Amino acid sequence: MIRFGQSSLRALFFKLAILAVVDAFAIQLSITLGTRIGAALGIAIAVFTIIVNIVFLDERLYPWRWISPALAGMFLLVVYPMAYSVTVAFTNRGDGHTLTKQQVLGQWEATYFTPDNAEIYKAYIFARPVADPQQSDFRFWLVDPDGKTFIASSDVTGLQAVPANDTTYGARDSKDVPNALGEFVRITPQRYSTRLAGLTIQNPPHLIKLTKLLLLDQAFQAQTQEHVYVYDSAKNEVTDQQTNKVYREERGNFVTGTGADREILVPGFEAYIGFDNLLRVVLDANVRDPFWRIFAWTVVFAVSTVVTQFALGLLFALVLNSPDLPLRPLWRSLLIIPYAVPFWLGAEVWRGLLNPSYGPINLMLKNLIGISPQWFSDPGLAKLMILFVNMYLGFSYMMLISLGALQSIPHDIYEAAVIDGANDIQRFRFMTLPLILVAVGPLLIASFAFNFNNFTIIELLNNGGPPMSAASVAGHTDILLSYTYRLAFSGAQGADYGFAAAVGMFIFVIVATLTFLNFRFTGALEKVAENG
Amino acid sequence: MANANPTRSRKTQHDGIVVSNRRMRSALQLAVVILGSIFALYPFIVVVSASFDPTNSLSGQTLIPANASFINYQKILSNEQTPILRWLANSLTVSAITAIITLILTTLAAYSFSRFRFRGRQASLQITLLIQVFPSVVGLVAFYILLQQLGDIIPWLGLNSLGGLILIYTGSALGANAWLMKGYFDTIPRDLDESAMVDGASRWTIFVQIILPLIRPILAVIALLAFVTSFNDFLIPQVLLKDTNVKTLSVGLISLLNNNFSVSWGVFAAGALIGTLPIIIIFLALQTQIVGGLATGAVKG
Amino acid sequence: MKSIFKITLFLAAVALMAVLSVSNHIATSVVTAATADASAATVAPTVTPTPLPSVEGTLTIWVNPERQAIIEAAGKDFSAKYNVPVRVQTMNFGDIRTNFNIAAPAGNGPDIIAGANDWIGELYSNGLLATVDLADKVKSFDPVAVQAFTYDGKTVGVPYQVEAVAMFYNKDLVPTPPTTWDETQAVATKLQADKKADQGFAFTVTGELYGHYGLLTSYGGGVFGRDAQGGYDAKQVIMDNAGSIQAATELDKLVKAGVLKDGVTYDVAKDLFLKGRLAMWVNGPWELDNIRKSGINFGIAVIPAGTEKAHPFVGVQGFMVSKLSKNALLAQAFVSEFLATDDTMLKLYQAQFGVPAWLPTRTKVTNPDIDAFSASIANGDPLPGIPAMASVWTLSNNALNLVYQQKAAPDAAMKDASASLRDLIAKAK
Repeated sequence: MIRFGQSSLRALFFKLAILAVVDAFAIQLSITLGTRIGAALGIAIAVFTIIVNIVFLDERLYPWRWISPALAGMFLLVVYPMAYSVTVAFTNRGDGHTLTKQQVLGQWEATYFTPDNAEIYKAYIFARPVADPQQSDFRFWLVDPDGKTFIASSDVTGLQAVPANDTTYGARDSKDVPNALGEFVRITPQRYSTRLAGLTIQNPPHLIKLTKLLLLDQAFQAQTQEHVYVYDSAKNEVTDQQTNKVYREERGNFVTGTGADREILVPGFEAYIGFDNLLRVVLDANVRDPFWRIFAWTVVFAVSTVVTQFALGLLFALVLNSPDLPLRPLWRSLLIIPYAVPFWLGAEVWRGLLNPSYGPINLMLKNLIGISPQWFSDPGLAKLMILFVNMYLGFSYMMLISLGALQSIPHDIYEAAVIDGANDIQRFRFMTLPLILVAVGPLLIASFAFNFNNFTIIELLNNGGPPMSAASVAGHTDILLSYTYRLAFSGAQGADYGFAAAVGMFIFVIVATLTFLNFRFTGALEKVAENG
Repeated sequence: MANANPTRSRKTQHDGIVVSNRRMRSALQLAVVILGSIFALYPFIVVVSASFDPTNSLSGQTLIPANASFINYQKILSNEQTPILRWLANSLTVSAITAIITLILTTLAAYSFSRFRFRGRQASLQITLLIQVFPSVVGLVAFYILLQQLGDIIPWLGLNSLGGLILIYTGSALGANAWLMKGYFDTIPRDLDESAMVDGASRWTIFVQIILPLIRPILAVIALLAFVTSFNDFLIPQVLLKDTNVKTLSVGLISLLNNNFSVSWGVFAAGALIGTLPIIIIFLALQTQIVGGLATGAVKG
Repeated sequence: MKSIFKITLFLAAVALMAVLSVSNHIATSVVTAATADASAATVAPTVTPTPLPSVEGTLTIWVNPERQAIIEAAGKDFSAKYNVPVRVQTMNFGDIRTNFNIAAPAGNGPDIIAGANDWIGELYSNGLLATVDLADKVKSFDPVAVQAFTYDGKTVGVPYQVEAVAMFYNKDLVPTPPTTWDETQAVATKLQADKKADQGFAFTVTGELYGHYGLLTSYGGGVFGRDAQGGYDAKQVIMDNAGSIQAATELDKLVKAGVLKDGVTYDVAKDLFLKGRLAMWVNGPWELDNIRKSGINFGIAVIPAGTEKAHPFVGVQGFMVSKLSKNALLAQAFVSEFLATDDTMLKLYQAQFGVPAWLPTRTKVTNPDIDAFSASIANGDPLPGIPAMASVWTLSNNALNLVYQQKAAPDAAMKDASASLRDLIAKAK
């Protein structure tokens, strides 16, 4: 039996110190994120922190100590976003519903209208100089259109008229505005515009609000205002004071009337809509019909990509591994270059090279054999083109891992085979290939999973085109993820994150299942078990 | 390295084969690599040529520019709005730190997966891989909100910061990497650990002083994989990074090209070349280590 | 015994660290506040009253890289005049909209964005746009431009530039520009047959509605019908009315005649035009500079007519204020008082060529190219700013591309796209 960690006192102190730092940070993180994003996240972080502590204090959980830093990162940055997306899938978050209900109610509360016969003032701002600027309070010097002047403040009801010949406030500037109101001094108002706009001067029966910053005058326009909406939290209803219409809540909107008279208050807000998004994937014909076609192509794309990349990579690896080949380092260096060139650059270049009307490749083909393949508009050729470019981008990686695998195949096996009289092809078919496949199997599966979601290549090369039909947003080369993206961001209401998340869940389940089956099929999981 | 001499042993194995057959095979092999190299280099040469071609259009350029000049390089280097060297520095910083952190996290986890037998081990290994297949496009909104709030506590981990981007990348450090690394650890005999432990060394000491030096090749591979992945990504940084000065190379350069109405292919090519040359050099310099690392890691995976 | 010791020690350490980190947090915020004050103090106060230290008030503006320099200069002027720091962030034009939609609700958006009028429907119905009070200044703006930034009867942006595509033509190849599509086809076919040009005619981007809208409207087609007030009505999709179908058929004819080709991307067309191998190109004022520099002998004409005049899309560029801005009134003052002045508008024009939305500037500049584009604008339809535009672009582009690619009959393509669009709009209600 292996003995787990041994601890000297110094090591213990060291460990505890680190743990304490981590904990202090985690506590803060838990509180801040918990209050701002959601209690669930805060609690989850706290629970995770406790688990980590237990892991580090309990000798029996020693192996987890090595893993927990990676798990912590994975939890916060992979598992949490996943969980978050799952919750979003049950909401209508998206265009028209991006704000929270609270934010929307806040907007309505701050919506005012100007009643008939409203008074309009020019307001100059004065503040008491205090050490902490956050604490400063304000006085307003109001001038009405007739030139009558008033002093007002947000804590005192009513306006205090100042007679024209008043001298209480000392020197005045060219516009006849005092430089100070007692201990309140005149300030440049623009830096405080939002806080000032939030203040209300009570002047029964009306309110006076600052409605506009007058930059040239270094003052505000102040106006009589009234609330447009009143929210009744008990009934969860909003009343429009101007029209007296009463709005009720419905799926993230406040609405009034029914049928043709139905009116919606804009903006709406995020609301839970249950399984609607998930059901839409299954029930909406516009979504569902292309879904399975795209699914099939996604699988074909991912599998063919891996196969073509691997086949070409392996071919080069076999050649490079041959002792007869002169200048091996040179060829290897050249063949690595596609992997070193960022794929977005590679994709852009190939897109230009394959341009059907003016790209060099088509011009050459036209001159030589008189054909000009429509790489971007013919569904079959577009698929071939994408596989070809993707093969270009990925074969070097496959070559590298195959080279690695080839080098580590024990040579006594070959020697035994030579003695048995196996020829080259037999040796490759029955020895090299299986050995390599076993070696690189997990990497091939990882590559499959990566390509299953290889959104970037699809977007960069042809945006999923050519279109399947004018009636749908789907294209012949769209894979599930790019299709999701298109659905989510080009719906009738623009972006629809809720729906995107729902399709994302489907994709996740599908690709996770496929990956899992792959493992079963190739026996990679059993191998783990064996080793373990 | 254990398999440093495959050539010699292979030679002996070929000695019995007919010479003419061998010559033909050799010619065939040469043809394959020559064709392959042309295929591999063609787009790259087009980029190099475009960067010296003042024509500024992919369809208009010729393979050998008619009046080659450095004008595209001058343009991109002198334009304040395209601080390409800054973008390159950002990309290198992000990718390098990501690689280092990934390395640390993965090595620790993989060591445990390889050396200890504990409940939940297999499940964890499988889950790390399954979780990787979650489509990141869908998680973008969550990343955004998370970083935004995090930025209020620790500004250098917030939105619009390279730190935040690194954080996102390192969060997905496990996955295929952990498998690769674990495979490598499995090739190192356990007797090594155990005999050292008998001598009184602690786990940690064994790990740092005995194991780490032995796994250098795979460390290089994992670091490189992590480096390349983050260097190439542009989906996530495009959403998270907004200031010109914090953009990474991919985001900055693609934004150049995406400005449909001011396409300047040559300038983009010049920028892309400046940006990718360091990577190509790193690759070429490290290729032996990469292959060596993959050699042992992959096989026993 | 040992474990109790361990746990006590540990808890003590945690408590200590928690205290330290919290106090550290406070310390940092104090430091941040102090540095903020210091930076505010370095901006020399230029107004008479004593400025108190900044509490709120840094304007953040998102623009695309092409406008960065102008807006930064304007921001510097503003800072100098009104003692408010202005921060300009650049991102791709399209990203401004996407990022704004994510950032603003999360409380992290800018105060002002520069964008196009076709965003307003989406952004306004998301509750992200504040209304802007142009007051008397409204008279100084091109009414079409103000109309374009009006949603639901409210002004939600300050326009500064109006643009529409027109037809650039190479005078050496086409001495007098064709005025109808039939003429265009004849001229283009002849040029191609005589090998004087590789391509006789091209739209802005192959298969994109934006450049082809003029063709659609020249036969009485379009995207949306109008309501009683003259605004677009999302309930009336007219992408498959007789006019639209006739236009698509004409497009099909041009493709079959070899005049229009698939794969003529923007940079291909640009390259050909600048080399004198493309004779006529429907494009906007943003390419003027490049075309002038190339030395091509060019002219600008209105888009050819079908059964009636072509109405290209009129896009209006402008500034919008975030409803969730932390400097709401200041941001509004910036756009409506500072930007909407002769001085700033002239500078915006000088920095980037385009037809000014600000009439005093438009009358002041004398430029035949401006006049040529103004003629196109005068015929134009504003870009619809309704939320459904996202689907309009995708579906119409699909339909047009299928015609280019000869994979669908023109009438079927337009009908399919329209049916799908109606369906989506109905479901969204």
